[in-house]
Amino acid sequence: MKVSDRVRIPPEVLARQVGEETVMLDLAKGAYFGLDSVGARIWQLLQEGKSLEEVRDAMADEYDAPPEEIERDLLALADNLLSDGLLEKIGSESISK
Amino acid sequence: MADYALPDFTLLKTRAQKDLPLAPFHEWTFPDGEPWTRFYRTASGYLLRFPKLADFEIAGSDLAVHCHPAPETSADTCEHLYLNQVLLLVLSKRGKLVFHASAVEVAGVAIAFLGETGRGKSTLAASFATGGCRFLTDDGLVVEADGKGFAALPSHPSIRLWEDSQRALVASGAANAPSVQYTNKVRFLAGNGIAFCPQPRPLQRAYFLGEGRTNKIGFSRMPAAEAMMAWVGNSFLLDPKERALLASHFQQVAGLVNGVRCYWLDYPRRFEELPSVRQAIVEHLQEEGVAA
Repeated sequence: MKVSDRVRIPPEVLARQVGEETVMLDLAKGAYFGLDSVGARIWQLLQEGKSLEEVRDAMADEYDAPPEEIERDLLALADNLLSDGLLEKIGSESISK
Repeated sequence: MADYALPDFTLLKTRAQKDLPLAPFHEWTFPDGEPWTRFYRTASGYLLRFPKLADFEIAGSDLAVHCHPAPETSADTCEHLYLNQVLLLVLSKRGKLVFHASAVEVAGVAIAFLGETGRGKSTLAASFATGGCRFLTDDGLVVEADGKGFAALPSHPSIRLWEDSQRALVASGAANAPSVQYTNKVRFLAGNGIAFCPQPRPLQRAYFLGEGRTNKIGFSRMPAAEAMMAWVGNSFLLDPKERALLASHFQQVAGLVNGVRCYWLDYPRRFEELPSVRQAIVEHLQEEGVAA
């Protein structure tokens, strides 16, 4: 996964904020997943249709951490979401910058 | 009983349980892996098979229930299976929130106890019901949004207890309900020292019971996502493969988690500790301003 990859949340994935966390349900598998408060914020930005780059920049504005660390954590989470089927790449090719 | 329309229930003649041509789409099993309930889809709805006990057909838009007892299964056993399992699954199909939970009334509000089989939900509810409070259900808790929050609805006014809990908690002379063939638990009817609350009560707290490997009574707040998973894991759902129902259930449980604070509760599993456990729960509620 690269920060330039275009991703979206599949339509069969539902999400609700509970407390400061987010819980997701993949209707296709009947499987549930949870995100902590930082993950929940990233999910919220993705739900707003933001790209990974835009999510990275927004998180860098909001959190006191080095941008490269934020990008690394974001991509790790995106990889996990992708492997769980909670996120999908748009198209087979990614856009390189 | 609760304030909701019950589906029609008809007890038919006994019939042998023949093998069915389809595989079940869902199954409940005992901890040892033995099947407890098999869920099948039929042309008109669903068939729930309790092996060697009974088949329940659920059909039509009104989800009417017809029971075929297996040979040698008593009518009381069928009625008990209907009230404690089938009815709750049918209610879930109607969009109700139904959980494996007991619930009691403390100072006018409801608190629920959830946990795996054997964690002591019924025993704790019976302890409250014989110790100055009233119980709403010993298992099979129906929860409804009521505009202000969530209400816990009363269910059948009886409590099922293992013999050791019965000896510790229930006074001699309490009325037994007819025994059933699939459990050694004894069912006690409300009255004679077992107090029942027949009205809905606002659900204020849920306590998920730990394993009991502890020497002290302890409470810890559950993170919201963990609480959500725990509620889901303790849900009755007739058709967990039906997306619309699953989506509705997900949204309702999320609302419940946002409205009802959840805790882990663990305590030593000794009957003589139960009064202290009750007292600790009441004080916990008072500290949070829930019970005066």
